[in-house]
Amino acid sequence: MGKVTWKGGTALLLLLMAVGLAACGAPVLDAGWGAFAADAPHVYAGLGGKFLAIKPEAAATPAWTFVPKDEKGNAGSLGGFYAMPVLTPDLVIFAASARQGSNPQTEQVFALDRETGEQRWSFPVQGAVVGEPAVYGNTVYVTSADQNVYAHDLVSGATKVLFTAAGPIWGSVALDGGRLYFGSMAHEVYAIDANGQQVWPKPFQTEGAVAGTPAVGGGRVFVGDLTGRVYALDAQTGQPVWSEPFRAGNWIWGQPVLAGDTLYVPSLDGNVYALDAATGVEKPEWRIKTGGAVRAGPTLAGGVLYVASEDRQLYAVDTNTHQFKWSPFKTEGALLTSPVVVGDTVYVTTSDGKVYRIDAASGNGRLLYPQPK
Amino acid sequence: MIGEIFNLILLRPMLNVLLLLYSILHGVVPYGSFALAIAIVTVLLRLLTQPFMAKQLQSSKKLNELQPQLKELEKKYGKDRERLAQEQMKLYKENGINPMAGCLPMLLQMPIWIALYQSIMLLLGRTPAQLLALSKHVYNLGIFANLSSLFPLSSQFLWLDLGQPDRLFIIPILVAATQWVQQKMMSPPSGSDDSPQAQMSQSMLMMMPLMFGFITMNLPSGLGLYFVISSLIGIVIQYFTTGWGGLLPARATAAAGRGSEPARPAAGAARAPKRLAAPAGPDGERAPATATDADHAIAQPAGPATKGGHEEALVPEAAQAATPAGASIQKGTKRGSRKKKR
Repeated sequence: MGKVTWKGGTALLLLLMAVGLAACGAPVLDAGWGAFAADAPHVYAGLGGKFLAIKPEAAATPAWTFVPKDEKGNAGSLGGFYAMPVLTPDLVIFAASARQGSNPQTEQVFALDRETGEQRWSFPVQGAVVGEPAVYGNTVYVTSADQNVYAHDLVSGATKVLFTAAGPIWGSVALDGGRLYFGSMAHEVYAIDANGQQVWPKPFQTEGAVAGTPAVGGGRVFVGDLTGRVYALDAQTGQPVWSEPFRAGNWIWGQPVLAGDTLYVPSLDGNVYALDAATGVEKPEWRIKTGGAVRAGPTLAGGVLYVASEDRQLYAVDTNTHQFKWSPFKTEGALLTSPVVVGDTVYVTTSDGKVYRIDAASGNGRLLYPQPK
Repeated sequence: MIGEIFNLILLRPMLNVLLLLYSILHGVVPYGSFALAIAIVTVLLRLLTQPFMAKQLQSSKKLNELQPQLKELEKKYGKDRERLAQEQMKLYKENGINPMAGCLPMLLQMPIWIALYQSIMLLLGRTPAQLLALSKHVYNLGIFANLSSLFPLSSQFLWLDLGQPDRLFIIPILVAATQWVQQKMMSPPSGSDDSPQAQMSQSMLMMMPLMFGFITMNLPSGLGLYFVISSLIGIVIQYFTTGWGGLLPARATAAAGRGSEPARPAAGAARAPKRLAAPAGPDGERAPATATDADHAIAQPAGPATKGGHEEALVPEAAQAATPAGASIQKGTKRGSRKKKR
């Protein structure tokens, strides 16, 4: 073996250090924590730098995959999958960070044909989209960290900024009676109409940043913040309804779920709190405890609350008996997005890019994608 | 497990102290409070770790003082590595030196600086995943009870968004410049010394600051600011420890030429002239007339008059801290021996 001289050794050392340090400092497309939607024939998911559709009965190979292309047809990559996609009868609409060829990274909203994966339209936004797009009538509403609420007309294809908040908007909009309710990282909750006009005299001030989506029901808006406080506001006036906010042990990020007169609130302290929606008082005996942070909002379907936890387990709780329906379903990665229920099947995706399919009745499930070779 | 312990005893306290400082300063200085918090914590940590730094310097100096004797041993037992190692250890023992003593203080303070680095990275996080990671480290008790209400932190400071890279590249330039100054102060004036060690030191002296400047171009500018503050504090400490060191070689040489050492000797101030005065070796070979050939200088005997010259001229402190002393001595001596044979 040749002896490395001092000069050669030094040069080699410096080269290695340069490469190593440059790699450390290079910007990397943030993968996000996985985003997906499902209908009967497909599961649509943003995984591994692309967006794809999987047929559950033939999941080994995606039905189609989509990556953006630049003007020359060079394939790019996708990342920043935080926002759950939304489905219209013929489109799957999702938001992601896109890198096309040598072009710089941009934040984009894409609409693809559900059957073929062909791109129908896209529009850029100036900041990351964390909350899922919401469809109301012929309009898609998109919130962004650039502080804007965008309205995209599905018929004309026109996009406009509907409203600009005081800070980044990370949650989605909650739609009710033609109004949009949402919070911002500037510690404010807003109510606007379809024209972007504020409905309340002034935005409601929260103690902490609002990173999640409010829940609306019974004429009230329920919203949590990053201090762990939960507020109930009058949907008409924006005035607090409870005598004081409920305080959880850690941040509240996921969307609360209203089931009858009970509000289920997920918290990063690992609990899903059951509160009396009228008073904000906890029903401690109904509290659902998990082993990790509950980042995403639970999903309520058929009287069962499905809770995805960072402890890599999916919990199913019967909201009538307040008992676990089955033993938690174990996955190999943290569950940071809400479960999706289609018929008698529950789908979850993990932060390491896997999709699982679970039978809602028995709790038995399997890895759907990617399938082991 | 180790990660959890690190988080518990270093990362979380550091992060929450930074946040607490931010919350106090935010009421007084709405803009730039996070930058100020970084500056204050960096200064405090520098002061806290100063005893370790002093020990490190002391240990380096002691090792330097033994260089001539070590070289003698190398000459004597160069072919018998086992015996050489034994003799070296004996020499260390006789002089009450632990060759690893210089590394230990450095290793002890490394986790503290890593914790500060990680705290800044976490607090300046901009993506949801980064914020989620941060949520696991924020205290919710006592005086720390309301820290979560501070998010997202205001990251504006002068022209900078501390969570984003500096698009004007001023911070990367400052990072490179301050690191170069600090390293230059730590090293002796190289003059025309072309020994491999000196060449390596010179390469490192240029490359390391450049590389740090380069990577700072893509890092949040808050981290770059931390690098700059840390280097500035290092420069001040270095000044009070060794003076301007290799930064002002001309002045140092002139001072030495007048035959008097400066009150606060620069690292290499008294070295080069002493090397010029090195006597001929015992085998009759004449010692180099100038300090241009370190390989020959290495072959010089450790005479009392030259000891001071040898003791610091061979390996700069910075290189010594990063390189085991024995390794650099052996390499240099080997080449020196080959030359001598020729």
